[in-house]
Amino acid sequence: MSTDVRNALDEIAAQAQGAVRAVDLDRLRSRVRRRRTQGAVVRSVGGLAVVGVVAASLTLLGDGPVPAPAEVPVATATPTPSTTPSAGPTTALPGWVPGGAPCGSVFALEPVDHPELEVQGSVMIGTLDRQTAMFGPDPAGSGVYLNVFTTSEVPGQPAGGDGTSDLTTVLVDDEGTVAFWSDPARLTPRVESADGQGSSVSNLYDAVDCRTGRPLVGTYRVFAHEANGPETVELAPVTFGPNGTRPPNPFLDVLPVCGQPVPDVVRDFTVALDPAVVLDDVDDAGLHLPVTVTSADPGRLRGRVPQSLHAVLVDADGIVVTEAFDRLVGRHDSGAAFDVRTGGSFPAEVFTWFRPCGPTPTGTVGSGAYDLYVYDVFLADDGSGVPTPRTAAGGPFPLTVRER
Amino acid sequence: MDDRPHRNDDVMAAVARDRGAALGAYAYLLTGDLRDAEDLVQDALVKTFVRGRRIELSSAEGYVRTVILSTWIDTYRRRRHWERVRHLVARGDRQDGPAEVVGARSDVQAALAQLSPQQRACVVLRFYDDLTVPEIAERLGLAPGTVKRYLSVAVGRLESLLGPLAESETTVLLNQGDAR
Repeated sequence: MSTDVRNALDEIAAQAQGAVRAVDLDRLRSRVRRRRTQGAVVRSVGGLAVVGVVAASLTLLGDGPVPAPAEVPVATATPTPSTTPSAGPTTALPGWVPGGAPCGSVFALEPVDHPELEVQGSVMIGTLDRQTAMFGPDPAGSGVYLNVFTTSEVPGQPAGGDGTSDLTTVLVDDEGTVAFWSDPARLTPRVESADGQGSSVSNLYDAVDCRTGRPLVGTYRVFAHEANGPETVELAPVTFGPNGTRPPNPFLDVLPVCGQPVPDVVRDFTVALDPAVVLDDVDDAGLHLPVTVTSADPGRLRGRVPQSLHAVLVDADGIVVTEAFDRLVGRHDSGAAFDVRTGGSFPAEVFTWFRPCGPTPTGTVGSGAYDLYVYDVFLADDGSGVPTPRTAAGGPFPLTVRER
Repeated sequence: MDDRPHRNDDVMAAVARDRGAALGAYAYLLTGDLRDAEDLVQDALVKTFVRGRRIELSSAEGYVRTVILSTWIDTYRRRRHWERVRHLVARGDRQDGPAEVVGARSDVQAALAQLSPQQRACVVLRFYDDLTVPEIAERLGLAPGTVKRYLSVAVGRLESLLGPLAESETTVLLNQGDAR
């Protein structure tokens, strides 16, 4: 028996026609009106066209220069008091109803690495502008944006489970107690920008202690647990306050550039692959690799390990053919720290989607032979107290891509 | 006074009211998700009618279908990253559509979900819109060879999931797929 795709598509369309909701004419007219109005404004000011939702996304994803983190907190394998104690009063605000479990409970980290999925991201402190619906980074802000997500273990591969995500993020104070968690009941309602061009991101919360209702103060370790895995990871800690945590600088201006050779720079760190890794059949969506980062600096360097090191594909002519920075993913530090002297090493990961250079609608890198270069810039403190950007690079690593 | 926007708005309303369901069904074939399909139709209608350009009622649906398709393709990268950003999007749970009522066709829906957006678009244009390979290539801005490759891979993948397709369909592809 054979399948008749034509008939099947006709039947599916016929059924969908009965199930799809009628077009909301009021909303449609409103959107068209707003777009026309905005178009007129844009034309009158010389063609600057940045709609709110896009600007919000770029801001959130750390595109563009941002100040360096004020400190480099160091995490350990198990919850212990942080170096910066949280200073929030312990008495609850009048009328405050403490959050439900796990609020206030002692958090016991049990790292779990699910073989088919990966929890990534970070917590950003900032402020929601209700006029523009944009959330901008500000360590003294009144909100927290949980930019934490579950993805597949390897780009392009199924994430396992039932395809849904049941992710919980918790902030743990210096006593190992949950001071905040992603309680769905306390999500900040989304707001629409005044110009109707976008709405605020989801996963926004007030930056308050779930036990007391008072603002979060000091440093908290961050853990994320995906129940539909399961997987539990420690993410980069966050510090609330004027000198607190800002998003990591992606150092876009020094990353490899599409259409050009990989820059030849002094490597503060060299990146090596596990000798057992074979890259002769790599999915065209991307890859996820463990790597070893070794210090080539003559002194001692300390800092936070990036959640994923950037990597690019280079063609036979030595030209970069994939984007180094993924705006949709952004840049996140991990929960791990490094503290190495010359020749000292620490583990890291490369998790990269292959995003071909240029505005190609097909969006996939072609199959064939390439060289993989790991190339990243992140902050390290040499003891001066002022973290400075350091380059980590490795490659070329020969690699063969196959089309899915 | 130029009344084109008003007239276009009337056309827009007529298309949305009278052909909205058909457009939604078309979008659903691409997205496999009712809410995505509804959003796609809204976006396409806005894009089509936001300019003051005069659009006749008789040709408006065709314009909107084209914009549905191009919007679907243009946002490929965003969809590709969907797994990573889905929690950021303002919507509720996925609406898989009328799978439970189509029953016998849920196998095809599941198989379609395994195709890449480009492959899926090619399949819809080929087997639902009944376009030739050159027409699909023109519609998607691709080389005919690329369309053939997408269709070939798509049919291969569908057959691996559904078993053999109707003979006429595979024959068309084997015969270069450029004739109806």
